[in-house]
Amino acid sequence: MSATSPSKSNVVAAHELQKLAEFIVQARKEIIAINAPKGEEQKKNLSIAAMELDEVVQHTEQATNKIMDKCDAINRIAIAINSPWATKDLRDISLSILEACSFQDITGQRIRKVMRTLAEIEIRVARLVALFGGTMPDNMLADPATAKKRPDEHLMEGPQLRGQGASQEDIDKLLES
Amino acid sequence: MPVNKMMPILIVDDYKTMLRIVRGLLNQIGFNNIDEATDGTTAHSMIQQKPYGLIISDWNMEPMSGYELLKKIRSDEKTKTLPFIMVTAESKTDNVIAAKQAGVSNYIVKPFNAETLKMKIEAVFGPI
Repeated sequence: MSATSPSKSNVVAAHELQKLAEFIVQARKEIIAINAPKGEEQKKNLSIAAMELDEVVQHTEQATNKIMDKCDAINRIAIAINSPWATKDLRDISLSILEACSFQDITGQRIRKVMRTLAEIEIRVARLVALFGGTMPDNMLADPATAKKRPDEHLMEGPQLRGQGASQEDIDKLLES
Repeated sequence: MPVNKMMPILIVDDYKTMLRIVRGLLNQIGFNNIDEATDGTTAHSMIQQKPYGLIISDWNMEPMSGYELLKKIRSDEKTKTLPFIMVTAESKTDNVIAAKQAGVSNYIVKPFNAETLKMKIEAVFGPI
């Protein structure tokens, strides 16, 4: 089996990177076509997967607001019913539903983490294409201008995976120490 | 002295659904004088103009995070003792320690319920 020469490997790698970059741009065009109501101007600064994930966040927000509207309706009924136990039960149910709706915040933050990761991947692909002397397709997610680093950026990781991160009990002990 | 349920409270979060949830939970506990802000910068401006009794803030916001807001409040003579509860998905011990060192009054990790919110407010003010 003959080994591939380094220069031939570089050519193959450059070719694959070019194809990958063109795939990313083509996929974005297709997604923009699907989501026609939104202007292309809004989309061009988002990576392709970020556009889809952004839609997920929007839809979950709409659904959550509808659920909370129903909670308000339950509360109004609870007040209108002149029955101490029924009123309490209905308000407790409404409260539990409201508490559960915080899923939208947590999922939204997790999705934003994924979106940032995907944007970074697209930027790195763009850099590699440039490094290998390829042609940057139009609308490739460009390297963002050097953004001012937030002083607490290292502390902003968002929700931790299950089993990681401190529990409320752990946090209470830390604060008391 | 029992906590004044009429005190103005400012809740700060960039997710509007979360603002609605916290407002709803505070209503259930008995607090109804509530204002909202969707980022630290807006919140800071509101705090300069109105004597809030309590700030309940998320951490991860732009352009100013809840942590930056906390530090700004604590560095101002007029607001350095203003009660500030962080309500956030940031649950690493580094975050809690940083917030504690910055002078946070209490720290709630998301997701949370009305009972937890009530307990943490009581820990700052006394029985509701």
